[in-house]
Amino acid sequence: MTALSQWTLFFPYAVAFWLFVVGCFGITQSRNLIHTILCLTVVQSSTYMLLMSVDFHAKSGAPIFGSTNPPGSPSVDPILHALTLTDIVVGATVSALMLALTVQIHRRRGTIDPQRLRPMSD
Amino acid sequence: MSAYAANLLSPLCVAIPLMSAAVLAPFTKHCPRWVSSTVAAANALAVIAMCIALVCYTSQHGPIVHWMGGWRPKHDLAIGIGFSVDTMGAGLAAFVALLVFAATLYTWTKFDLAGTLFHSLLLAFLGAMCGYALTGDIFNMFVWFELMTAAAIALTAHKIEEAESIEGAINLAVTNTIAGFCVLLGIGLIYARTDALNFAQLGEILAQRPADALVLASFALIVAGFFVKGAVAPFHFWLDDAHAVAPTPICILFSGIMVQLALYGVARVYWTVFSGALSTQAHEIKALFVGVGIATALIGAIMAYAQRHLKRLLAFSTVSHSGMFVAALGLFSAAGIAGAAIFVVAHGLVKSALFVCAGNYLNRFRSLDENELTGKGANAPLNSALYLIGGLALAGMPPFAISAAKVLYDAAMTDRALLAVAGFMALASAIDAGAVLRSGLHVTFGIGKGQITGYSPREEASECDDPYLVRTPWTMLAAPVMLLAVAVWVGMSGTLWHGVERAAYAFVDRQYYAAAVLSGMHRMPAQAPFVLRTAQDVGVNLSVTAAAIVLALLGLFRRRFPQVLSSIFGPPLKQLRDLHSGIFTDYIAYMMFGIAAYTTYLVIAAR
Amino acid sequence: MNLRVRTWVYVTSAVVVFGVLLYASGGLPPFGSFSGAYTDYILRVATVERSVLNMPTAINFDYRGFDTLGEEFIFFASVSGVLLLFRALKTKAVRYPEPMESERSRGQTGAIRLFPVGLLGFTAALGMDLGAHGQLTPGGGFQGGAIFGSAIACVYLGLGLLALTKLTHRSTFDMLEAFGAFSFAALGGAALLIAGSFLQNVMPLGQTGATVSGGTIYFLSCAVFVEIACGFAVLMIVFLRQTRETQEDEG
Repeated sequence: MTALSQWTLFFPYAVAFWLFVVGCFGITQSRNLIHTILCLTVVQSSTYMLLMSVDFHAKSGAPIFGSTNPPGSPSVDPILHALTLTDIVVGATVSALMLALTVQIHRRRGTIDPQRLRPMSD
Repeated sequence: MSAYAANLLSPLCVAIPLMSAAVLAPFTKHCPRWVSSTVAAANALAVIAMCIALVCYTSQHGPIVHWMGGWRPKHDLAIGIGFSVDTMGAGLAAFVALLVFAATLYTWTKFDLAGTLFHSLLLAFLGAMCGYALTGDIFNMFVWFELMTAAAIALTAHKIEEAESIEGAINLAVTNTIAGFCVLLGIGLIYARTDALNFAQLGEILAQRPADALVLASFALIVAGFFVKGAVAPFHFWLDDAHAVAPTPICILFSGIMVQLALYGVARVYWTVFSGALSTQAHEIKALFVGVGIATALIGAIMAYAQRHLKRLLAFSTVSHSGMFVAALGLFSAAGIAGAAIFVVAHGLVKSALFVCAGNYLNRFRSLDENELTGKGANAPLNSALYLIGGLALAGMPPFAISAAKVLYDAAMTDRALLAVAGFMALASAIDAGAVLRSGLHVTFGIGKGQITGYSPREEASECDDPYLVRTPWTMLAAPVMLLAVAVWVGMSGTLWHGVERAAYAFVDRQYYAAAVLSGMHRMPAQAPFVLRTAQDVGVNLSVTAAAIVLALLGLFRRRFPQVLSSIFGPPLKQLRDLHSGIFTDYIAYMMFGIAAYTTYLVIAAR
Repeated sequence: MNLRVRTWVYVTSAVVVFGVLLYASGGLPPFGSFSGAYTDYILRVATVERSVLNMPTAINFDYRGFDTLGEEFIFFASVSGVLLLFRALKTKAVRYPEPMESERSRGQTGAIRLFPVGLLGFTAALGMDLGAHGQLTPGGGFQGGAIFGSAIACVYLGLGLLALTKLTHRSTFDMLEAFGAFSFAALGGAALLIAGSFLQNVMPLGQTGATVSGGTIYFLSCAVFVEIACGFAVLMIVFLRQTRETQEDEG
């Protein structure tokens, strides 16, 4: 196997870590709370990427059996799929809460720029 | 009690609060206050009772495992999610419920509830914490971690009319969510190696070979994620913002047990999953935990001393104590775990009582600023007395047995280097208890001319329905009285200490845990003759208390300091204060720095 | 901390983290070659033991159903939290004026109004279909519920806020959502009392491939569908009503 094709076997994991790091970068540079929430979504998708990359099995189908792939045919790992489902719901709920907080802070302070929000800095 | 009955109890500790939360929430407009308060209190008491029953059962018969869905392990392969309840977990869950009961007691009268939603979220929080303490599966622990975060976000922002509450909640939300994802990345990495999610099974598989970079990276990510919730430097910045603005009953739960549960999570994950694989790196990990613990303890203590907002002061004191817990855990011995467990309970009780007293000041005088409250504490004598007693208890005055210095002093008997650690812990204890005592004396008696600098909001809203309270309601005073009374009992109860020691031995024995969970076999955990000594440590505690009183008085009479001291300590203190900027963008930068430090140290240096 | 310092601190830390994690991922199985005992076991026996064809659903509602209970309640706590955050304050005179008649016809042609209404039925049906057949096809309570929730958005897009507030009764959705969450936990508790294990599958399993099969998996999926659908409906209604209040504040 050439070095390049060996490296491609670890590329998906690199993408996952890159997403984590870049999402957090977006949060540190953020000047708008909506942008922050979307960056949180990017960070979350890094976890999906890692979980999905880990469980992929070449030459296997989806873990849902039917007439074309009867039970017993090769399939990828369903456990991580279930974990990712849970993770998606968690992400959606945190986004909802953060959006509600954004609306309220806009009402109280008139701004959604994190640099202008300082709860209790000394 | 039969094994069958004990088996039924553990999922009920989680299911019943969650079901009650679901029942309460839709009736927000129609439900009278006493109904939701009674439901919440009844749930808390029921969980206390169930967990105490579990503690009694497990201390005699060893851990019991409830396999959800009936999926017992087949050929040592764990298929379902197991609630592996041992004495330490059940005891922590009982303590969680006790603090929730105190919170419910506090909100019984006059507290401004939002219909039933406050109690509904409080019950969801209770269910999550019990689930976290009792679970035996790493992804399940993550799920309860996220439920704790979601409930915490909503409850912190309870006072929606104040912008600071919302800002504090935003900081909490962003930092804790990223922490959760960090933990999930760690779980993903370790799953890729082992294809298992159960603690015992993970431990068995990982112990077969020494840890390589992947296992170390996974450990580093999980520890970093849990340390964010556990308010350990450099991840602690969100805690003071959230505490300063959260309603008092939520401060009780955050400082009393939520932070400590995260550290329990680290300990549990280390001992059951990683201790076999990481046995060769134990020395380096110990150094990391102890070093980080000391740093956190000192940062927290110094920042606490430099605050004038009472809740923020107490929040930094929690950060400092969190560092002490990490240092105690970092000893990696059963003695350390036992001491940390008692310390956690004692600190939780005392800190909760202090927060309630601060909340009472807020409701009576509509301020939490030490400079504004000067002298007013004399109008609330019982509350001020409780606050001062709490301050002394925080320093470790003997009946209350906050035993940090004591534990480490004991452990130092085996390793002289740890004497220095014990010294740092004692110093941090003295400084932050001194801060609490200083604020207490300042508020109660109005003595001392020093004006503290530091942030305080221009005005604060009372948490009660009636903003002009003349007398503190008895329920709001009963809560700290109850908490301090339990703290006295904890300090003096020999049976409790002995039970905790035995539980700690079972806690650190990975093979004992794995055998009990996967095969249902019970053999006795390894025991060594070890008794928490009480004799010479009374002396240490009294001297720490005396040091705290001295520091408090020093703080009160600051004008008499020579200028040279201010010029030496002033600039570094200002730098430290500037770091705590209140903006989450900075916090994420610090968090990434912390993750970098932890992962580099563990993966490269500890290899 | 100013922007430059913060950026430098972050970038150096992030580069280090990325590098270390890449180094550590050398220990991961190469992409596409994961296998393990737990996975093999589930794939082999799940259809036989539980009469379902959709493996993630079997795991979500049976093998690891307790995680789903936690997830349910995370969603529930978030919806309650949003309601808590948007509650009416006593101190301020908050007005939630009803949307006006003229809003409905502001800039909307007949086609724009009709298309979402047409889509509404299809969306709701699709959501219910996915939610009800989770054990057979890709889907399940979560997916179906989310799609059903977007049907509420269709009502708003097509008919405006006035129709949304008149046609939907928020407290009913609230009650149903709590009922969904409660029934998930209650089914688990019932299994505990009947069979001694929380969330055990105690109902008759039916035949693999039948519309109703899988025992409690089916009913848990339906409970989740009810909760998520109604939860999303509540969220949509609450958030969309905030647009009304904001306009009044500015007006």
